[in-house]
Amino acid sequence: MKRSRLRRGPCAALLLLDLSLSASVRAESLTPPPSASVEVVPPELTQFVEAHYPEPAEQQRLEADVVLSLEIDENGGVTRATVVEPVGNGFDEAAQAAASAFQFRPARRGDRPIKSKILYRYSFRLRSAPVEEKVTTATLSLSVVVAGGKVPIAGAKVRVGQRGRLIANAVTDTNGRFQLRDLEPARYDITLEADGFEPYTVAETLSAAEEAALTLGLVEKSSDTTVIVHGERPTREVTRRTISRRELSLVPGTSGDALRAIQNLPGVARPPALSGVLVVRGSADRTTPVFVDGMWIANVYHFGGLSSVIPTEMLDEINFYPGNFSVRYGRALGGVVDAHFRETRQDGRYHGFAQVDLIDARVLLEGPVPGVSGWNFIGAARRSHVDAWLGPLLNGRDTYVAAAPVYYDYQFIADHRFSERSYIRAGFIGYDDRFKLISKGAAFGGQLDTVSSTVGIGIVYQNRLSNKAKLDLTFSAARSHQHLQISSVAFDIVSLGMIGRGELEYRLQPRATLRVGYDLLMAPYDVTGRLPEDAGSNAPDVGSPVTTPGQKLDRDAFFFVPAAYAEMDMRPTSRAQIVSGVRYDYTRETGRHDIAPRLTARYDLRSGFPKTTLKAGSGLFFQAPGLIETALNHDHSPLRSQRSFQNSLGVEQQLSGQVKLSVEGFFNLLDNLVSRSVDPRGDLRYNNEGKGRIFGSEVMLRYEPDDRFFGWVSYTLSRSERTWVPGEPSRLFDLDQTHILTALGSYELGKNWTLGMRFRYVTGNLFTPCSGGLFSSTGTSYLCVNGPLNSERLPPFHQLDIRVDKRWKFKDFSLGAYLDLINAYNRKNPDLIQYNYDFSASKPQSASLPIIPSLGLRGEF
Amino acid sequence: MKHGIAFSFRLAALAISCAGGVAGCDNDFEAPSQLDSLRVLAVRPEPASGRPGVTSKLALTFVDAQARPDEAALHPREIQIAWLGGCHNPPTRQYFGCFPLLSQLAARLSPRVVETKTEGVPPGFFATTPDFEIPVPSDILTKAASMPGDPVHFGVSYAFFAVCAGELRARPDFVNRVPLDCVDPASGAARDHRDFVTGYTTLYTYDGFDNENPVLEGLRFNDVALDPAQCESDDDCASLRDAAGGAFDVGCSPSHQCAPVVPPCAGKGCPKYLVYPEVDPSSAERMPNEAATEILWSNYYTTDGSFDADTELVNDPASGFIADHGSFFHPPPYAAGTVSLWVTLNDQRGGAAVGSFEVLVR
Repeated sequence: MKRSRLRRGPCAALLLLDLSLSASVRAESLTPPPSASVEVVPPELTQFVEAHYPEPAEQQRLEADVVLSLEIDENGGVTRATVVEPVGNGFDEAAQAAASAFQFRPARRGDRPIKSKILYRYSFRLRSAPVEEKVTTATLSLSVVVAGGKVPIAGAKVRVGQRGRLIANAVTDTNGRFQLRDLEPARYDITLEADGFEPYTVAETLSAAEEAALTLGLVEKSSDTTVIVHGERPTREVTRRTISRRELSLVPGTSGDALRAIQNLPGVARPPALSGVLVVRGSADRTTPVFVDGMWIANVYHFGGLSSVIPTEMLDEINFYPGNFSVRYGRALGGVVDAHFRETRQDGRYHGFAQVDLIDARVLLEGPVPGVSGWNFIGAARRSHVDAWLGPLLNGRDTYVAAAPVYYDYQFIADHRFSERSYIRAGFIGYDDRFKLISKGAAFGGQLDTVSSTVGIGIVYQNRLSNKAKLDLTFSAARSHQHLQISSVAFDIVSLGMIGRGELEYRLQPRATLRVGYDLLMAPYDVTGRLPEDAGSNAPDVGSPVTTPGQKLDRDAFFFVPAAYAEMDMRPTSRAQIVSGVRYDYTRETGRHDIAPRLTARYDLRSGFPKTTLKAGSGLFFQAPGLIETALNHDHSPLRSQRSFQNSLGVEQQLSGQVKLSVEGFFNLLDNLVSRSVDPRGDLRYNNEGKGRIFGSEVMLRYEPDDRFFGWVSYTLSRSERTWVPGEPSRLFDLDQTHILTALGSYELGKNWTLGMRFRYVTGNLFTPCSGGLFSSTGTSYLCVNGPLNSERLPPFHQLDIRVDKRWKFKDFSLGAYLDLINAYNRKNPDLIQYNYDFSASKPQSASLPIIPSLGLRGEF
Repeated sequence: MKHGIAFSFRLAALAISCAGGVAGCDNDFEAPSQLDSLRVLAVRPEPASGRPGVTSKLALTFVDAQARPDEAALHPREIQIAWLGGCHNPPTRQYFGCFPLLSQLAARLSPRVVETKTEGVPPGFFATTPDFEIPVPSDILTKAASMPGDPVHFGVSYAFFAVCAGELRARPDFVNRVPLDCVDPASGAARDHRDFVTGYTTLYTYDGFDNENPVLEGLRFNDVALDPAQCESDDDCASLRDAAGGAFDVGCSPSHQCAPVVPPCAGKGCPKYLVYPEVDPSSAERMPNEAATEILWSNYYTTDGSFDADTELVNDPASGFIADHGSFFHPPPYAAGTVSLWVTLNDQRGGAAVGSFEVLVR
């Protein structure tokens, strides 16, 4: 169920669009009358423009309603605005000028946009009454849409009651709107019903003089592609890219996996083959954390990046911040991915689905918690079945699969809404990957044994304390076990990570909001193992790790990183927004205190359609050294936190009601990066001598989802450089990718068929060529004699993915099937350079998947 | 900064995908077991680990397989060898920490390296013979860096070698590699990888622990223990022929060794012969201050024909001793005459053992 809450401030009341007029709005097609079988949809106002209040009229405290006749073309633009009922005093001209800049979703006959003509009343109301007359009533405006989009639902039945007394019983207009005025301050029950949609009831408390505008989304019956969006949170970052669940589940090439879909956004590099790591704006992997309900997901993807550990069906939309994010987030040099579990359906019925594809099988059940009133739950589980076919494939004379690769995960959440103001959600998740293989065909072979296992609980509590204050609290705890053994290299870490977050938001003034919060990370951990000695940054090839004495790890410690932050969100004018904040982090392991001031600003150069917004941000970001470096750093002087000074400047341009262009440049300076080099005594030591700089630009042209189509084209041009040893020249970073282009779209063909395509082009990865071989008698193998570091690139990567979805709807359930054709033209994209035994010959080698038709089936009720 | 553990996971994933053929990691390069150029197979230290104040002797095993063994016996190429040493406990403890020292050493060599006069050169710095002696300094342990993560305190010595089917030249200007070059004596043109091998060997000196070379007790061919008896004719090889019991014929090779005789074979259904190094399981010693035993593996080489596996694991720290560590030999499809087969047995700390025998393909 979508429920979006938009409240108008007092100043907005001046020119409040009189929605009650909608009933008198009519569409007059200038084209020949349609046939009876083709439905004509009237135009919908998508961009309202505020009129200038005539000064003489304002001085005389005059108010007026101007009725206009608007002619709207096929693109939704107003071609002519004529005053039907002149009122004088400058109102007519002002209304005419403003209405000429309106933007509509054009009227349609069937799927075809057509010209139209409508009547429109523009109301001029003074900002405040000339005499201090206390307003004692409230206004309730409803906009009813299809959940997950902006498509209005006309004719939806609306019942408004108070303590069992029916206050209003009406239907929404052609724009899905309904308004009720002169309501007493009280709590009201609002019930919505529409054919083909789940009924929905919500309670709303109105205070005196309040003008509550609610956007409510109705969920289609037996739909799995709806998205629940709890209003539009105010933007606190320079750039927040949001992908709805419908988009997430239909992006080709991802098999409907939400967190893999993020890799299609600007600024996100193509990860190395079979890794699935997030590389954002030229930063290193593991510098962009992923949070789900505040819980840090350390290993986002199952083995080989096949799928993420949280199924898409459990998630609400995903917010991705590629940089210059709010002080709410920290411990990250790259970006942040912030996902949330979705709110449960509250229709009192049970829903669920079962799905199977080539990789895994999954089930989900959702409904009321038996015997507990007001509580609902979602439970899901998934298990891979690649072990059924991959195990036998790997078995051979020199290879024995002791435990074929298998993963599973499970999630359970239950939630309860105590009132419209307070909400709680609690649950647990778990995920597990295992694989064991014994290979005796190589010296660096032997037993390969991996286990990655996590079990965690989490709780979210939200309370709108008052109309000015809001409280968000989250807590999560997760026990994680990571084990890796390859030959004599072994690594084990068991940790209990606990994250507590809290944020209090308080509106000091209509244009100033203060947020304060804390962010605690505590993690007692025990790490043991035997790792090959790190030969140092930029070190030549040292060969097999088994032939050099390893470094023993045995550390039982407590990782404690408390943080606090404060942020002021100011809107000095209706066009400007400035968010300034500061974050304080303490890292117990290193004893370091980090203070990170950040500033972001947005300014609407043009607030009417087409809206143009300038945006900029600057700030400091810190990330403590990694656990391995910390554990292996035996020096007496602790490492400092790595630091990034991020700057960005961009513009957002609305091109139509659905299409938006975003262009952004970024420039990040990195320092205190953990490096490893020889100290004056000749010993290898960890230090903070690494530096870097990253700059580039991102462009995103996006078509916002409507009822049939969504898609975007994203392009990133960037350069990422590093210097690990002082005095050495700067060189390109290992994961630098100059050009990243993604174009994707999904179109509903009709009759429940959906077709999607994705094309990607990415500059080839850097590599250091081998200029020859050096024989190590200890390892009985040759080592690569490095040529210039990162001096060559692999051929570019490009790939086309195609996805077809089909649904069959029945009375009580539906069936769905999809075919995700990955790498449709079977491009052999090189992922590495393979050398012969003495490095005298080489050729590009692909480690990516060949053409894969991934077929999935799904039944749901 | 690379994250070692993450990289290892990625490596594991890649290895698995390649092993399963999922990612198409096909390899059509020549197998490393195929000897058809100048190759270094092993360096055997004796003792296998250093001892403070004691000289260790390094024995280099190389094969010039440019020509077939029969021809090589008649017309062997002149091979020049040079050793450069004197590098103990270099910065970073890695071999590349020795390069500045090697560059200085090369500057003191004659431009034609083998003409360098060895009189007056301290022991352990330079030699032109297959064997090289490293006098381990008596203070190697006290001068070694001590890292808290080390399982055992140790010192490390490196010796670098160059083997050249041509003329070795000193190149002090090579600062990040072994400062030697191999050229054609007549034209001065540089020799490529088929005629020139550079490498290094590592000698660890442990505080309170020693490493022993693995013991290669013998070689079996198709489950028959090979007898390195000398012969003048096929008739002198009766004992080996009897042991083979008809599994294969036996003949006398041109180098006067009793050798199995196998027919050439092409196409499917050809017989293959298991080459099996007999290894004493106790060769897998316990690692210093660790519960695990050391890794042992064997490498297989042949001058003609091929092996199923180039490398076979003999002892794994987790799985223990692996009895099934032989590799199948496939004869060539033509009558190659004498084929040399080599097996090296290695441990992860630099210990080595070498065995070889001949097979007559006729």
